[in-house]
Parts: sequence; structure tokens; C-alpha cells
Amino acid sequence: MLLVVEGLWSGYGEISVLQGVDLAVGPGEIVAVLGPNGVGKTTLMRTVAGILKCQRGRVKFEDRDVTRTAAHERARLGIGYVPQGREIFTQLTVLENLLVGLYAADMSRDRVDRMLEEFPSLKPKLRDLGGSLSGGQQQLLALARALIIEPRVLLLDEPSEGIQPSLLDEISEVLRRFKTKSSLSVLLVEQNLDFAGGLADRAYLMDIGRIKRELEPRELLEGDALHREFLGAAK
Amino acid sequence: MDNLIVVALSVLTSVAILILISLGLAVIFGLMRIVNMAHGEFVMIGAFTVITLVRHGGVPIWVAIALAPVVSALLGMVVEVLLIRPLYERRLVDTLLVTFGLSLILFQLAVDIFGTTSPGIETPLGAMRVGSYSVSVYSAIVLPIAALAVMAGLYTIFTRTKYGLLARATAQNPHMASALGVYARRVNLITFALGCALAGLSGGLVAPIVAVSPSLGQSYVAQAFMTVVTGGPAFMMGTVAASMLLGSVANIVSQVLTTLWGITALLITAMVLIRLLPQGLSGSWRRRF
Amino acid sequence: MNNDVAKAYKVSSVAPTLQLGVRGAWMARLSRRGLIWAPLLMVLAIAAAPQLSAAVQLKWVLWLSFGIVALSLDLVWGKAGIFSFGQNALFGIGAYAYAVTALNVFPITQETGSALIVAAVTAALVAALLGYAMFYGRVGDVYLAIVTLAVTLVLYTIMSSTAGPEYQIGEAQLGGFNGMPSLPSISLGWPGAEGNAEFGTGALFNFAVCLAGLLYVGVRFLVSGRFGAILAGLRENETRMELLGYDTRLYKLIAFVLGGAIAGLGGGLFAAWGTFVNPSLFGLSQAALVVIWVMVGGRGTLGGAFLGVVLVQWMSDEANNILNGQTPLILGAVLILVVLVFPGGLAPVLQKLARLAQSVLPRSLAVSLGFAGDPRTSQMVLSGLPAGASGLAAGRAGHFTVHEIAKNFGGLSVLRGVTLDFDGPRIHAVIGANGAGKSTLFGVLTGRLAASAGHVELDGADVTRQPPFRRARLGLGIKLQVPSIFMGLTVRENLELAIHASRVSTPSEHMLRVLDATRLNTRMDTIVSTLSHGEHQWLEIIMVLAQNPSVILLDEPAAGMTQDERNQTVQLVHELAKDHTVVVVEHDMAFIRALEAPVAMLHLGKVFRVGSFDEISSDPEVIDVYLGRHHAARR
Repeated sequence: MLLVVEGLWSGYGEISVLQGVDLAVGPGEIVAVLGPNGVGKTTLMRTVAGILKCQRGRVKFEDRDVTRTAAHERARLGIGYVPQGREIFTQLTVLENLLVGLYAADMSRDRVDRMLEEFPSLKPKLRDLGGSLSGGQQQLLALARALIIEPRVLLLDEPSEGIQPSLLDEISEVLRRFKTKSSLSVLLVEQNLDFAGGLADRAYLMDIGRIKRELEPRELLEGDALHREFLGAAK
Repeated sequence: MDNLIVVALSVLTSVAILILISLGLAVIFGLMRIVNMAHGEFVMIGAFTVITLVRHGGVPIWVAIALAPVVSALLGMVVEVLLIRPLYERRLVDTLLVTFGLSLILFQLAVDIFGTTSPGIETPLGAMRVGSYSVSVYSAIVLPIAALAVMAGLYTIFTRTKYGLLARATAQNPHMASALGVYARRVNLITFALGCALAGLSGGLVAPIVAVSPSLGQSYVAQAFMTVVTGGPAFMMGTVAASMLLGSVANIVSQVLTTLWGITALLITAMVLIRLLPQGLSGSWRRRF
Repeated sequence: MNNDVAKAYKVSSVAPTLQLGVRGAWMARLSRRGLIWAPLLMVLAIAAAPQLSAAVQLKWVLWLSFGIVALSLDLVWGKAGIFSFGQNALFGIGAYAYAVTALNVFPITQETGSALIVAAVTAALVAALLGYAMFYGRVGDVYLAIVTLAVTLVLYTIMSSTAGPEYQIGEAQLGGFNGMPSLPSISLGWPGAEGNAEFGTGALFNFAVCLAGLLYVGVRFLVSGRFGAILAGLRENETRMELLGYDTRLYKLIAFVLGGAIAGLGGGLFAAWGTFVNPSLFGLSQAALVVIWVMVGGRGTLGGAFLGVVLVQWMSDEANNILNGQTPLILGAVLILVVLVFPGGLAPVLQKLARLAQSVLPRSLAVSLGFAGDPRTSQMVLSGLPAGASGLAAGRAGHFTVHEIAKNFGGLSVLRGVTLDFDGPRIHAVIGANGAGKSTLFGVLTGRLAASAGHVELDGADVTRQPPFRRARLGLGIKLQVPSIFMGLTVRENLELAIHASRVSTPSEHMLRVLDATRLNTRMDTIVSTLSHGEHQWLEIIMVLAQNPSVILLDEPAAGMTQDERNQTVQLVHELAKDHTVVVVEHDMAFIRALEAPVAMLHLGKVFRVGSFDEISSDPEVIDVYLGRHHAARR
């Protein structure tokens, strides 16, 4: 397993949002974590990315214990992060957004051109400020920005939020391509069952603070019972 | 007519000096959200570096001025590691107090080393005639050019260098920058050193034209602060805009009354502006640069 | 009035019984208000005076004048949370005001009491002007520190440049950098009376002791009452104070002006001590010193102000003997040390001593000496809520409407015409996916955000342009998503602040019901920061109820709670809705379902659907929005 989370407790100050999360992502696997708002999906992502310090438990990457490793180190090791809400550097241009990760890792600028082939819609916008992009374009930029430093596993937090369907297709395409050619693994957090269902090899259903159970992909695509479980109408 | 030109040149000098002494503070405050109360002392150190090198080292003045920022930057790096870094997680007030303590220490050390007053150095380049008036070439031409050069240099650093990009990204969203692999500590160290270097450079540049003493910093720090605060979130251009406004006010008042009244007018104008525009002059600008 | 409500509130059964008797209680109250130790020390000092040499007495007068300005900073910063770098400026203003007045008036009236009064008033006026500009301009904390420092430096430069003979007020030459020498010392008496003479050293010492003691007692007294509770609230959580309906700017201004007057008095005493003032009073070293005294002594302890002065000045004098004239160096080092290593100053040490005393002395003695809290005194505080009869009001249900609300941020329109009608008494739920505009709508409802278009009406009154604290006074109870309560205070103190905030209305009787139901009535003296997250949320709701709001807004009340806490919160909301109009904005679907309330769903900045939970959750278009576009197609 590439990424392993064991008994993770995490939260803010006295609040423990995560209360013992266990999951694993293998190489070249797309794994989804599903659940409604407030269960702790974003907290999980932030903790695995290293932005939030965990209270208990472990995170292991490539058999290395990274629980105490700082966020920037984790990025260098190969953990990429696309947060909920994109968090584009609004005051930097599209090109500059792409360059941040490259410069931090001392990688060559040539990679920009290669990445632009994956995301052609960004090409004409290189000199535009990140803040002037639409939500969908920002999502693509956030994705490109993370992929350009060639992570082994990508943490993707609710990429579908506020994005139109055609762009979602584009995102799915890109992720599948990277999965095939670079063996990219993805840990995907989502509320959108369709989007997740179309992409994921495996999925977890998250309840308040913990993983409730593992799901079969077909459950995602069939949906009725699941969506009711999701909305809390059936317990 | 000549009178107007002379007045205009005088305003230009004041604005240039204000820009020079404020930009270092603006860089640190704008990018790290840290108030460096010892900023004035770094200016003073730059000034004393030039004076010492010229008087006792026989170093040509332009070389001395070029070395001033180096000295300040080195000291700044030591300060960042020892005093600023432990306080990253603490309230802003704590860094304010610690740098305040540092400013007292540096002040006293300067008094111990140099005494309370210091003989100055000659102003280079002499004077030029403007109609029936005589104007210092250094003040009227060199300083404004230096201010422009510093602005251009900063602009280049922040838009064309790796460090510059990483610093801007860290300032906007430190967590996201970390998640992309940016080592915030190293970036902050360079930012702080840069701010101190600018302070030292401005001190070195004003050394030929002001009375250099250990209390030089104290007289500049309030002006620099008020300028930066008035400037607002666009740490470079906002500070420049504020410098132009406040520098002009200070200069004109000081020509009508005295220098000290000029400084007072600057501070009062700044306080009024902050009351009217709590976000600063650049609060509503789109580009926060 | 419900009897069970009265029974639900059982504070007196919780407080430990004390065998103090009437007299003991009276003593305890005095002690709490600082009226035992300070007068004792004053008497001792005056009694000991004749034993001290003139030099020592003079030293103490100086230290007491410093202690007074440190006291003023501790009031302003330690108690009210306003970090002002300018207390020494007000000290200096007081000193100069004394000097100018005394030089003019003393030759005529042979007294300087008037000069002292002028000192206090002048400093207070300057503080009022400065404070008005800063607090009513809503200047941030850091900027406030810088602005106050700038004021100090402005004064330094002004006073340093008043050298010429044209700078004089009446008979007093300002003297520029050299200052004003030969000032008359303190002389008290009726203006023009025979026998008015300047105090000798001994009399000056006694005067200083009395002045410092009285000021300390005065501040202590003030701060241990309702005003102090308000300042504590300001310091801990200004937002919550606003939402409770306090005009925070006014209270900050009052605290600042008081601090100014006190600092001015200190300055007057200083001027009389040295018979000399000069601009160095406004210097940076002086500004740093005041902060150092307060920090070393323990910020917020009041007594620590004097302690800090004595300690630092003594150290500074000793160090001066060893390293001559290196004061700024030592001060700087001390400041750095204190901030890096001992941010709490001496206070933690004192607290440990107090706890030690508490465990060693018999409890009654400990209480009367002020080492332990007095539950009976706290009961007086809660007498604002007598069980039964006139203390409580029945809940009232208001009508809250928003009409065609639009909100834009720059070019981005987040709300595009939201119309909602909340009547009562009942629950209303508002839901929406991320990005639908829920938080923005909540901001507009509370008044934190100004709507770009549209109206907000509360019980018929147009509140569109009203800030949160006005809406709170008009009957809008607001509970924010992140609990906004006073973490450093006890439950009791939190409630006291909430209760005393409501001037016109009396607390809702639901307040006691919720206190009982959540078992918080058994934790009245617990420091809030130690309670669970769920208890924080409930405490905030209880505090909101203190104003007996007609409309209660709850932003994600179940956030961060355990399942049990959520269940209890559902019960709580149902209880409230029996009498109040309750609007709940939430994510948690199970919670919303349990509320059994009409639901309004927001999507892309507009109201997308209104209906019952079952209607909405089975509506295919809603499912589309929440779970993914293609779902409807697949059906």
C-alpha cells in the first residue's frame, strides 16, 4: 500500500473531528471517501497533507512514517494536495501558480509546457491573474499546479463542487490518464456520488469522525439506497 | 519659477527618503505580517556602517553605501533565527515587544560604540544651480534615483526570481504554499533579511545628509510605520503612494514651519487617513502588490 | 410563572455551605473589592515612614508615581485588552500639565492641588480624543499599538522643539529639550489660604502612598463590579459582546479615558517629585518601561503593576551601579526575556502562592483574605435571576423577513435575490450545498455583512443597515457557528455578562430550562475553556436567551458534536421553538430531519425549494444538486 492511515484522530484545539480513521490507498488506485458535510472529510485531507497536526494515530507513505513530517516535506516526498475550494493564489498569474511548486522543488520550467498539453484550456490564460478565472478553470489550475510536481498520490478534496458537468468529464479524463501512464494514486473526497462512482476503484463511506464501511463501486452507481443513507433518511 | 522648482526638488527628496526608509518595513510587514520595531535601528546601523567605513576605513563612499545593506542583512538573519522564529505561532503583539526590546539593545550598543553624536561625512557631488538657488545634487538627484532603483529592484526580485514568487505565494496562503513544497522558514528568513538590507541601504544613503547618531532610528521609525500602515495591503505600491502623499505634506509643512512640525504633520495626516480609510490607501485596489 | 422553572434552577444547593456568618460575608465582600490589603499596606507604610531616610522616601515616591502609570496600563491592557503604547505619553502630558499649571498658579494660590486636577483632566481629554479616533474608527489591534506609539513620538518631537522664548503658556516656559525646571512640589490646601506650603519629603511620601493606594483601591473596586465584568468580556471576546448588545466602542473609550486620567495623576506626582519635567518622558525607553513593568508584574493583576515597578526599577538601579548608563540595554534584554520565556510575568507565581494559601488556611479565613472565591458573593450576582415571579419572562416569537436580498463581493454575486419569511413560534431550517451562499446569507441576517440590495425586517422594523449589536438589542439572538463565548471566564461570569447586557428585556424563562437540561447549572464555577465543545454550543445558546430574543438564529448548532450531544440539541431546539422563532442553518441532514420543520434550500444564491424535509429529500432536482447531475437522468 502506498498511503496508509491508521487510527487517525485529528481536529482543531479541543475538538476531535476525526475519531479513529483507517484507510489505505494502493499504487495506481483511485480511492474515494464519501460522506455528507460535517463528517470530517476535509479535516482528513488536511491532516494527511500535513497542514493539520493529528492528535493521535499514524500516516504512512511508501512505508515511511510521515505523521510528524511537515507539509512541505510531504509534498517533496510525493503527496500532492488539491484542497476544497481550490485555494488558487488569486494574486498570482496562472503561470506563476504553476511555477510555485516547480520552483520549490527545483524542477525545470519545461514541465509547464508539458502540463499545458494536458490542460489546453489554460494556455490562453497564462498571464491572467488566478483570481480572474472562473470556478471551473480554477479547479483545472489547482489540479495542474499539483500534478506538475509529479506526486505519487494526489489528495483531491471535493473537486466537483460548483463545477459544470463538462469540466467534470475533463477532470476525470485527466486523472485516468495520469493513473494509467504515471501510476498516479488518488484519494478523492466527494459528495457527488456520480462523479466518484465513475472514477473510483474503491470507496469508503464516512460517518461522523470515522469510516463507516467500504463500498463496492457498483453501489455508487446504483445509488438509491446509498443516497438515502447518505442523506440520513435511513439509518 | 526657480522658487517652485527648488520646492519641488525638496519635496522630491523627502518623498524619496520616505520611500527608502519605508520599503524595508513594508516588505516584512506585508509578507510576514510582522512588525519589526527595530527597523529604525537597522537604518541606523546602515548609516553608521557608511560613516565608519568612510572615516576610518578610507573606503570610497559609493562602496560603503553598497556594503551597508550587507551588514544589516547579516544581522537581520541572526535576529530572525533567534528572536522571530520562536514567535511564529504567537500573537503579533509578542513580536512587536521582542523587536522593541531589540531596538533598545541595538540603540544602547550604538551609544557604547559610537558615543551619542557622531561627526558626519561630506555630502558627495556638491551643488548645482537652479536659477538663483543652489541645490545639493545628492539630495535632488541621487536620492530620487536611488528610490526608483530600489523600487525597480524590488519589483524585479518579486516578479522575476524564484524567491520572489515563493515569498508572494507564502504571504498569500502559507498553508497552500507548504502543501506545494515551499519551505516557509527559509523563505521568511530571506524576506526578513531583505527587509533589513533595505533598511540598511536607506540608512547608508541618508548618512551623507543627516546628523547620524544612535537615535537616528527612533526619529525615522514612526514615520516609516505610519507610511506603511497608511499604504495598505499593496505592500510596495501602497507604501509608495503613501510616501508620496505623506512625504509631500511633511516637506511643505517643514518649509513653512520647522522640520519637527513637518514630522508632526506627517504623523497626524497618517492618523486621519487611517481613520477615514481603515484598510489603507490601497485597500480597494485589485492588485495587492 | 412556572414553578418547575424555579425548581429547575438550584444554584444554592450547589454552593458549598459556609459558616461565615453575616460579618464574615461582609468582610469577604470587602476583600474581593480590594478593600483589605491595600488600606493595610497604606497604613503600614505611613507608620513606617519616619524610620526611613529621606532618600529612601523619595525613591518610593518616584516608584509610586511609576506604579500609578503602570496601574493605568494594566487597567487599559490587562483588564480591557487594549494594547496601548501611549500610556507614558499620557503620563508625560500629565507631568507637563502639572508643570504649566503649577508655575502659573502656585505663586498666587500657594497650592498645587489644582495643578494635579488639571493634570488628570488634560490627560483624560487627550485620551478621549485619541480613543474616539481609534475605537470609533474600528482600528485593529496592531495598528492601535503603532498609532499610540506614534502619538508618543509626536509629542516627543513637539516638546523637544519648544526651546524658544515664544513657547510659553502664561508664566511657564516650555523649554524645549531642556524641559521645565524648578517646579513647585505638592502643596495642598484651599487656594490662597494662609499656611499653604510645599510638602517636605515626609509629607510627600505620605501623600504619594495615599494617592497610589486610593487609585489602586478605586480601580480594584470598579473592576470587581459590573464594569469589570464588561471589560473582561471585551477582552475575551469582543464579537460576543457586540452580539449581546453592548456598545463595545463606548466601553473601550471609557476604560481608555479612565486610564488616561490615572496616568495623568501619576505624571503630576512625578513632576512634583522631581520638580522638573523634560521631553524624555515621551521617549521610546519610557514607553517600553511601562509595558515591561506591567508584564513583569503580571498583566491583569493590578497589584502586579506596583510589583513590577519595584522589581524592575530595583534591578535597573543595581545594574546601573554595575554597568553605568546601560539602562536601555538591560531594559531591552528584560523585555525580550519576559516575552520569550515568561509571558505571564509574576502572575503564575502569585497564583501558585494563592493556591498554596488556600490549601493551608481554614477556608473561612482564606475567603475573607481574598485567597478564594466567595460563592455567596456570586449568588448576589445571580440575584438578577430570582427564582419565580418577576425575574423571568415568557419567550416571545418574532417575525423575521428578508426580501430580495442580493450580495456581491467585487464582481462575484453570491446571493441573487433571496426572499424568506420566518414567523413563529416555530423552527425554520435553511440548507444548501457548499457554495450555495448559506454563510453569506447568515452574514446578512446577522448584520455582519451589508446586503448589496434588498431589505431585512425584524418585527416590522427595517434593520437592513443596522449592525449586529443593534439587531441584538431589537430582539435578534445570534449563535455563531464557532462558539463565541468567553473562554477564560467561568460559566457564571459568562451568564452574568449576558444577563446584564439585557437592559430592556428580562431573560427568557427558557434560559433556566436549558441550564438545567444541559446540566450546566452544576458547572457554574467551571472555567469555560475546560467544557466540551457541545457544552460550549449550549452555553452560547443560553447566553443568547438572556436577552429574551424574539428571533433566534443558530448557525450549524450541531457542528462538532457527538451523536448524543446532537440528540440533546434537537430536543433543545424543539423546546425553544415552543415560544420563540428559531432559524437553523445546517448541513447535517439527520439533524434537520429530526427538527421536523419547514426547510428552505439555497442553491446558487437563490431559494431553490421550500418544503418539508421529506418533500425536499425525495425531490429529484434536489438530489441532482446535492449528489450529482446525472442522477435524475439515470432514473
